[in-house]
Amino acid sequence: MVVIFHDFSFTFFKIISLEFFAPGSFVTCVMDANNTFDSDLIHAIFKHIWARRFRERERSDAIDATEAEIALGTTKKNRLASANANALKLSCELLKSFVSEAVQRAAIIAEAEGMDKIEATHLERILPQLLLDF
Amino acid sequence: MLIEYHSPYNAAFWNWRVYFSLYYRIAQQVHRRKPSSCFAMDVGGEDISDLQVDQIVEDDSMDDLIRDRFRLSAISIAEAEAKKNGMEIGGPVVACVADLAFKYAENVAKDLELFAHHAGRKVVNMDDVVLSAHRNDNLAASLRSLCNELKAKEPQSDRKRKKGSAKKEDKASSSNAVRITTDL
Repeated sequence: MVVIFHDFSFTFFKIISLEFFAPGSFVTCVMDANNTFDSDLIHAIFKHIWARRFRERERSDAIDATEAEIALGTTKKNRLASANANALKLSCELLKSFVSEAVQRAAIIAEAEGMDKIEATHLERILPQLLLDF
Repeated sequence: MLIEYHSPYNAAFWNWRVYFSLYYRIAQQVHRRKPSSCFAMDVGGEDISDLQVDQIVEDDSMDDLIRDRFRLSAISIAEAEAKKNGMEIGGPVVACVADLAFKYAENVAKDLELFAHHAGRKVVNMDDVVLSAHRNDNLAASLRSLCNELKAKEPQSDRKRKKGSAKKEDKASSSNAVRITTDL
């Protein structure tokens, strides 16, 4: 179940019960102006990880490559990946939805308990399903 | 703003803060002897060269900088989200969420690279990102709709520009050819 927010009024607690909390359900899908991750930051993170993996592949290629593979040309070329601008925007949204989902689901649990502060126990309870969904 | 690593003796890079933080991190590593990814276990008894040590040091400082920036953004997003729900969120909880999000970002980066490589491409596409969200149908649907929105926004301006520039190039080249022949 996807709940789409177009304004910041918060009425979905009245609509849904805890039964919706089934595998595959989804709490938020915010598509309007909201603070999100910086595209440059995500780009920096991806480049950092891709560069690290590139270096590790180079190192292991230097060690592992058998002469037969080199002769046959079956070793794959070790390319350094780069990202499209739109792909970066999408992945910003993806990471933002991860954080939003975590907070929203924990808030539901906390609300069900009648507390007004999200604690670690609430996060703990939603964590398995969150990690399976992402 | 990324730190550009030119040489270890670049004065602009090595101001006292960076030097201190790097020294602290090297000391941590030496003290803990933690097996980081650069101390590869398959390298056996090989000594780590100076270049690799420099790389490790740069990696760690870059890593921490990126992590801190990411944590700040994640914290602000989480707090805005909690406020939207009318709840407060505890400090350790939000730090935990930020760390989880960073680990997830690392996995996403790895997946995107694998998908792009599998498709025989070097550049990661929007389709790769949509594919990396395949585990949850709702998430995939929302990402796909965002993808279509982004595609709908740009190609009109891009296609017109491409067509226009191609036509202009053709005209220019043909007019040049005419000029050359008439000159002769």
